[in-house]
Amino acid sequence: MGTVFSLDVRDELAPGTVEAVVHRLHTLDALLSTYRPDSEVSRLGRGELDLADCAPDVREALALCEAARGATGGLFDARAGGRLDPSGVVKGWAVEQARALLVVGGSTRHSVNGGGDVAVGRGPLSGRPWRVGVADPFTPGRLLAAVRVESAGVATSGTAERGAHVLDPATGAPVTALVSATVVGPSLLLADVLATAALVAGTGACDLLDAHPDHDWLVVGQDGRQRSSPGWALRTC
Amino acid sequence: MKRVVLALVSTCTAVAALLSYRTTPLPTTTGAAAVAGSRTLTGEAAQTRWGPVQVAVVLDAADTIVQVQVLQQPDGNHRDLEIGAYALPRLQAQALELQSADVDVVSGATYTSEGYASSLQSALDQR
Repeated sequence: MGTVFSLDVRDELAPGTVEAVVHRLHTLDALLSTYRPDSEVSRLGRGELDLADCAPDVREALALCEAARGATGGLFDARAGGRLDPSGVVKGWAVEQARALLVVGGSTRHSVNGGGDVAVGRGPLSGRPWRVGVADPFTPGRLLAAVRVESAGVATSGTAERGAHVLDPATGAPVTALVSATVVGPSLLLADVLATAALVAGTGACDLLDAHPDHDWLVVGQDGRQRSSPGWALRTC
Repeated sequence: MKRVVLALVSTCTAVAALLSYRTTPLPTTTGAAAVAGSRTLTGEAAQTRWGPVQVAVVLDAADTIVQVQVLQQPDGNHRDLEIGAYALPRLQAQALELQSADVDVVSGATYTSEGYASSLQSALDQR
């Protein structure tokens, strides 16, 4: 997946849990990384492999992409720009799978970070939620905000660190109206999809996100102007 | 409490996650020598496909990072030097900034060097 995962576990884990997480992430990476020319998803994208012949994990990832496309009215599209790239759901999906393995391993207090997509359980201490920083899209290494989060996912889609890499499925051109969209929600997978869709929606991001009242969000325009959900300010710390 | 950092394949990584549990604010001085009781830990050289990357961290008496020094960076060609000159100071700034912020983890920070992160982690593991 071209990125690094980290686990922060604050309680006891059953033996072998971390190994299981590592194994699962390597399996997903081997199948679904667009950075590996030999992954099933790369071969599928080049037309060398039929979807029916792909591993169940690949078919499920593509099914999630289809669901995400439907749920966002086409704003999220794993084939935007004509090239198959399911990374927009795969990273969040992988983080959630890692978190599920930690839960099965007996942990309740943990955070999992996969390349800036974050899923957390209960806070590191009783009465103390996780504090999740949001990267400043204009200045690498700086934070725009920090929010308190428990048992939720936090996803940021932005143009600053990797350039204008999110493409508008309608035009195939990079989106530029917003430089960053951060979404907090019960599912990291959906939060991640909504963050990408918001970036594509541009000036329509607020309307899109308002339709998901159980999510909090912060979007930053190219001009630096910030907009956020009513609940965002209650989370900031 | 247990913290595990997994490096997976790659072109990038999250230094943020490596450092995020250090929640003590940075001291106002960044001059390592000026901090009483400071010590320097040298990370292992991390092998990347472009060449070795090695860093050292300077910690104060409270084990807060006050400086990250780049000891080795890829210099095989002009482009390597260009990238090193651009990226490594940004990574250094990032490591310090994120530590100074009172957060556990950062959303949206993805693009940092794998070699930098793993050498930095090996230095921090010596604390």
